[in-house]
This record gives sequence, structure tokens and C-alpha cells, in this order.
Amino acid sequence: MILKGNLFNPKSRFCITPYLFLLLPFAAYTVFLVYPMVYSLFISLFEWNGMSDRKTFVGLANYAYELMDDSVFWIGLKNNLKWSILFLILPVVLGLLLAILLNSRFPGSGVLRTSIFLPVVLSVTAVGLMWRWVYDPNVGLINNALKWISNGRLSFNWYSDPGNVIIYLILASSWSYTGMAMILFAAGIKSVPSSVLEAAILDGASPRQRLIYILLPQLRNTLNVVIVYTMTTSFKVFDLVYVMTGGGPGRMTNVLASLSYDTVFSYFEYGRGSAIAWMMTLILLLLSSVVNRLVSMQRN
Amino acid sequence: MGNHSVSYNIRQTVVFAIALLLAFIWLLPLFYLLNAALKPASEFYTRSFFTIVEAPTLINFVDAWTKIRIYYLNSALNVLVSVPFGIFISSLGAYALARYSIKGQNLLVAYFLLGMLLPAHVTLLPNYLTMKNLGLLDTRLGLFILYTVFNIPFCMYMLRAQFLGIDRGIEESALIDGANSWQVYSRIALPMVMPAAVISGLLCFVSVWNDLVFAITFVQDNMKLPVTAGLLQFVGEFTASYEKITAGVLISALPIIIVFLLFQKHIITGMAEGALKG
Repeated sequence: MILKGNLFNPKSRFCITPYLFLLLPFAAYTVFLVYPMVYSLFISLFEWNGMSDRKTFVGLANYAYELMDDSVFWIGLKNNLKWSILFLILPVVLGLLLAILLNSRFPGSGVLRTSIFLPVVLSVTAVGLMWRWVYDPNVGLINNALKWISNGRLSFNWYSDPGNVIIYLILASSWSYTGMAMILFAAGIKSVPSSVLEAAILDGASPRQRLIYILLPQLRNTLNVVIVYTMTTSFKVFDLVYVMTGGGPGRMTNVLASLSYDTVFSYFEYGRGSAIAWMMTLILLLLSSVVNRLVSMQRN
Repeated sequence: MGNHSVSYNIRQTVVFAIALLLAFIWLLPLFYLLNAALKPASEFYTRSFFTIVEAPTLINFVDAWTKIRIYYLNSALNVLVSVPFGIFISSLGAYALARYSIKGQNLLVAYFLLGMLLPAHVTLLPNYLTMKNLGLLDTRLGLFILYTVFNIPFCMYMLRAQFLGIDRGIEESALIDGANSWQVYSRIALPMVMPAAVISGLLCFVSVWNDLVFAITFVQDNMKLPVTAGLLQFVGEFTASYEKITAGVLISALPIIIVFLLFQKHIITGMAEGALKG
């Protein structure tokens, strides 16, 4: 009885109750999420073809190979960077404008907000198939619209220049990312104290002045978060590439995640595939810490 | 005065029309898809793809449904098992980290956030090997486990914030009255955070229903694929039957669209919170 009182009494130093509560989530999370991350880092140091159990320790050779000898790695990295940059230019700017616009209520604002955000919750499979359908040279929306407008003189084929296909993927992805950027900015705008804005109105600031001198400086933290989140998202991209091109034509539309996936599950190069996945992770962490550093430097 | 309100009404109407137009342009890909899905094959292949449907039919939806019904059922099972279970075990951990003071508490909180920060892609190969060793490749159980675990970081974060936000007075008086810790958790604390648990569940529903990468990695058996991966099979099989593929895409998205329209506000808030944390 005394023992039980000690072990299960929240006031006791030897209370085990919280550990019992934590047992199941901690165990499941560790086995299927944390351990795989660590084990993946371990695998990246070995040459392992996946067919046998034989692993040969090669140190950082997989990393060196990817950086020096694998041209597809650089295609993938460049595509991830293009994805980040275009995301920051298109959906993020558009999302900011929409968040400002939709901050005030007007007839139809609800419908507009719902429409912009809807693509965010659709599966990437659905979004990818839909945009393949928009781009398709035969049945596609864009080509048919062009032909209809120009009486058949203009045409559009998204595969005509293999170097540009990645841009069309990013544009399709921007369609669903704009809503995400919009709600992140909207959350930021909502957190600006209304007293600040009211004071500006009393001082006779015009709506444009309020936007430029009051609202945008207050959104700096939000902007920081959005930039980091956007880059992280662009470096994790996989599904859309898998659905829309599978990395082709050639291997031109690979991103690091799809390259890592193919290296592991199609070419059975377990070590190299894991090295790619970890480089992707490291680049992502590095970029976010650089952005955070830059923003805090600017503040001082 | 009358004049003023008339011009005011006109302006409101114009603003409304512009907003609707913008919304329509944004969703144009979706409407183009719907237009194609409603066309009978005869109309689809004899006339331009661009024309607006003349004799709408549901035959494409019926055909697509018979093909993807099985995938649909699999997706529904994934959601029905892994979402409630994920919420439940997350609530256990969240409760412990919100209500008890334990050594290394902050470290544990950070430990559980790790999963939101690092890309899940890193875990695919090791989990593939684990599943293989456990004989769980190509099984529903394997997917249930992964979906449950990968929702833990987000749900724990949301639920811990909720537990911290409610007054612990009732729980303490229940303890004094002789209730044990489990009763306090299950009868008092959990019901109080139920609204937040339901919202977290909605977001987990979206993420599980929309998952593609776990499905294609851990399941090869056609009969066990969820609707996202099944849809790609369906596309491969019917590359030429565009009108059926478009119907399939729309059917696959329907539950998400309905849930979104019903709980829009909660989903938007939850997603923003999750992203701001990650």
C-alpha cells in the first residue's frame, strides 16, 4: 500500500505514472521515426546493394561520389533550389497579397478564400493528375485554349523543351502552395495588435501607408517563418514529381527526394540513396538556419 | 439617400462578381476536369475537348467507381484505424508532458518535435527493412502503424497545448476524492480536450487519406493500395480513357472536399499552427 502510494502518487519523487503514460507513444515514435533516421545515417556510410546482408564500410565515399561524380545529384539539387526560388517569388508573394486583401471582409471574400485554399488539402496525386491534364498537348486546357484563341496557329507542349518541364511542375505546385502561404500570412496579420493600426488611423495614415509602414514591418517574424517553411517544403518535394513525370524526360525533373528514392528502390544502392537523403536533410537545415541568422542580424 | 444606397449596392455587386470570377479562374483546372468527366465518350472524342458538355452523364463516375472502390475502402480503413489510435496514444504522451514534472521534460518535448522538422524521406529505407523483418510489408497493419506514428508529433504538440490550457483544479480535486491517475485522465482531462482532439483528427484524416509515398513504398499488393496509389494504377490501365480518369480523380478527392467545406475554419487554423511549429 505504501509502495503503491509512492509509485502512483503525483507528489512522490518516485512516481512512475507519467512514464507509464509516455511508454506507448515514446516506444512507437522511437522505433518507427527516430531509430530509422539514425539508422539511415549509419547506412549512408556503407556500400550496400540491398541484395545481400553484406555491407562494406566506405566512410564518406557515398557522399563524395554524389557530390563529384553523379550529375543527376546536381540536377536534383538545382531543381530543389529552383523550386525554392520560384516558390518565394510566385505563391509566397501572391499569398501575401491575398492575405492582405482578404483581411477585410467584402462580398465574396469567403468564397475567394475557400477557393484559394481548397487545392492545399487535395492529394498531390489528384493535383498532379489534374495538371497533367491541364498541360497535355492533346486534351489539355492550355493547348486547346491557345488553339481556340488563335484559330489553331498557336500550340503548347510542356514536354517540347525538357529543360523547362521542371518549371511546369513548380507552377502546378504553386497552385496548391499559394493557399498555404496565404493562411500563414493571415495568421501573422491577425497577430498584429489592432491598437497599433487604430493609432495609425487616428494619425491620418492612408491605407497604403498603414500597409507599408505599419503592417509589413510587423510581419517580419511571419516572413521569416514563411521563408523557412517554403524552403523546407521545396526540399521535401517528392509526390508531384512521382505523379507527373517520374523524374523524366531523361532525368531532368529529378529532385533530391526522387533521386534518393530511385537510388534505393530501383537501383538498390542503399548506401548512396541514404547519403542523398541525408544531404537533402543537411541542406534543408543549413538553409533554414542561414535564413534565421540573416533575419536576426537585420534586426540588430 | 436612396441614390447613395443604390450605388452602394451596385458597388457591392461588382466586388462580389470580381471575387467570384477570381475564385472561378483559380479553380479552373478543377472545372475543366469536371466538364470532361461529365461528357459521354461519344461527345468526348468527336468534338473538341474544350467545349462545354452538352449531354452530361454520370456513366464515367460509375465506371471509375467500380474500378477504384477497393482502393477507396482501403483508404477508409487506414483512416478509421490509424487516426483514432494516433490521437489516443498522442494524448497519453501529451498528458504526461503537460501534467507531470519529470526529468528532462523540455528535452522530451523537443524530441517529439523532431519528427516535424526532419523529412520523413530519410526514414523510408530503414522502415522498409524493419517492416520486412517483421513480415509487415504488403500488410494493412504495416501502414496502420506508420500512419499512426507519423501523426504523433503534430497531435502531441496540439494536445499538449490544450492540456496546458485547461484548469487543473478539477483534476486535483478528483485525485483528492480518491480517483486514480488513469480515471482522472480518461474521465476528466480527455473529455475536456475532445474538441481539439477532433480537430487534430481532421488534419490527420487529410494527411492519411492523401498519403502516397508510404503506400507505394510499403504496399505492392494491388488489393491493399489506398486510393492515391490506386488511382495511378487506374491511370496506367486506362491511359486512353481520359473521361474515366478525370472522374476517378474527382471521386478520390470527394471526401477531402466535403470534410474541408464542413470544417474549413478548423482545418485552416490547425494547418497554420502545424506549419508555424515545424
